[in-house]
Amino acid sequence: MTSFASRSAKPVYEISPSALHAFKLGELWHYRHLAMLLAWRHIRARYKQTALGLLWAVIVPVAFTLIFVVFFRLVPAQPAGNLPYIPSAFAGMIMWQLFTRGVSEGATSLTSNASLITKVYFPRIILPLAAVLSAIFDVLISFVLLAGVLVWFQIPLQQQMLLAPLFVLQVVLVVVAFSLWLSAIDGVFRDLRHALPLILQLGMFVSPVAYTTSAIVPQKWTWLYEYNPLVGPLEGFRWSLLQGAPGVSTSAEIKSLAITVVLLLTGLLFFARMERTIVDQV
Amino acid sequence: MSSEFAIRCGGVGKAFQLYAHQNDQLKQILFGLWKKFYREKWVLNDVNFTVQRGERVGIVGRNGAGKTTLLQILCGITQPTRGEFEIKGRIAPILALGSGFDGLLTGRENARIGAAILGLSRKEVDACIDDIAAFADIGPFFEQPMRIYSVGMIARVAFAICAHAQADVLIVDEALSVGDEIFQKKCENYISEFAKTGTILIVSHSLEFLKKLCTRVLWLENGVVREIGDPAKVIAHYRAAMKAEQGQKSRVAMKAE
Repeated sequence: MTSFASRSAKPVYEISPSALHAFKLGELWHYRHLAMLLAWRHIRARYKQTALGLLWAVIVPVAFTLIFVVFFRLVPAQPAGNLPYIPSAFAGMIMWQLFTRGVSEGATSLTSNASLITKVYFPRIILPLAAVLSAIFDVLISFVLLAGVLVWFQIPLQQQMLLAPLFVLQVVLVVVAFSLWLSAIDGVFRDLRHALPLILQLGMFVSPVAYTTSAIVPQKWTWLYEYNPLVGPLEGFRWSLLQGAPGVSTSAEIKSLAITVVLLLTGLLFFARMERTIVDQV
Repeated sequence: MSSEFAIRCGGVGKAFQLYAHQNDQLKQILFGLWKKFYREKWVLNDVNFTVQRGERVGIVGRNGAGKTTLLQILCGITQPTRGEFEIKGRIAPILALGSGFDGLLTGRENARIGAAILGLSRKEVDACIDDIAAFADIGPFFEQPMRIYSVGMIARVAFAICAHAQADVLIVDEALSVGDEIFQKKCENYISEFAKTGTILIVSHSLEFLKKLCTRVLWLENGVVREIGDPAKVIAHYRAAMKAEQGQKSRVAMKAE
């Protein structure tokens, strides 16, 4: 048996009622290892007892891309302008997968761990963050496949490819913002579970996933369309990878970023407000 | 050292919001500033007490007296509606962890996660994981998925994690009733060993165990501290009250017949 007289000197945590648990960055940093472990557990649980395992993370975006390809062969449209369609749609689809997986895992992260959060304290924000981390891991595999697609279609290398990770990061921020908002709401109103699939499905149509903004969205509505925080990073990602992609205007990217930051900050506040008593409800 | 407090509760109160309809909750969020849409149910009311470092305090009270809510507040799981409290040091909520285990993962994997939940860093977990295995003492099962564990084995792993959390304050809720005799003995040994340096707050219905272990007992009734003090005295009063009430109830029942 271990002797407890030999305890090492520890920082002393004072748990006292404070409105802004979520902003205790020091505490969050202290629990970073937990976030990684929970993300890992999430991935393990998701693919345990599946025959294809991690392949599923790739099959889904590939299948969607193929559906788009067939669909746009049948209807006479040029949804990606002059860009080669498959790389364009696949790039959009991967980013969309990052969003939709992250948000659907993140949104239920508090309620699905109800038995844990009612029994032991740790910063609750770890749960949505771990869910988002697991989604990122999922999508990483698809990025490898995307590289293959780019090579296959002989897409020339260009300098702005180095900027691609920044746009991925921007989507991650959007995902975190949505997860904070939705997980806190889900703790109180389970209506969210019914609404979420609908919202996500609709989201794909109003985001430049299967098409590019300039090829489909009427010019006079572009200003409104750009309030979708995913428009900036999705078009930006495409622009960084595919030569000749129009990308987005600086004003649109600023709009996307501004909305993301607002969602993120209000999400943090809302989450901090809700996490204080969420266990009374879940 | 001994005059230093470990737990301090000042006027802690907790009210749950009871809604007649789920819709009222939505109304509360939208129009809460102007009107109240819920009834308040106060499960804790003006709870005051201080626990010195190194004390072992037992909590007794009937079901619904607010014991678990009080522990939840002290652990930081939920917030009090009123009042303030302070705990000095790292807390380990004993046996509460078992509920967070994942049946698909092995005992070792769950133990790693459990220790991280209690706030151990990766290095600390690496350093103590083998000690946890030894303490749990479930042999090769430790490397097997937890869904094949018995209840007692799960409890062993859960307790072993808490025992290595390097806690300053041990918070025990209705523990120690699971596990076989050998393991119960081990837990009791651990707790008395822990008591030499740490603080213990323990909820239990086994009054004899509390009498043996604790330096003080707190009797919680209807959300208020009815009595706190010498274990033998408080427990005797508590027993008498329970008995009196039982007698009353059976008399009422007999009359009804």
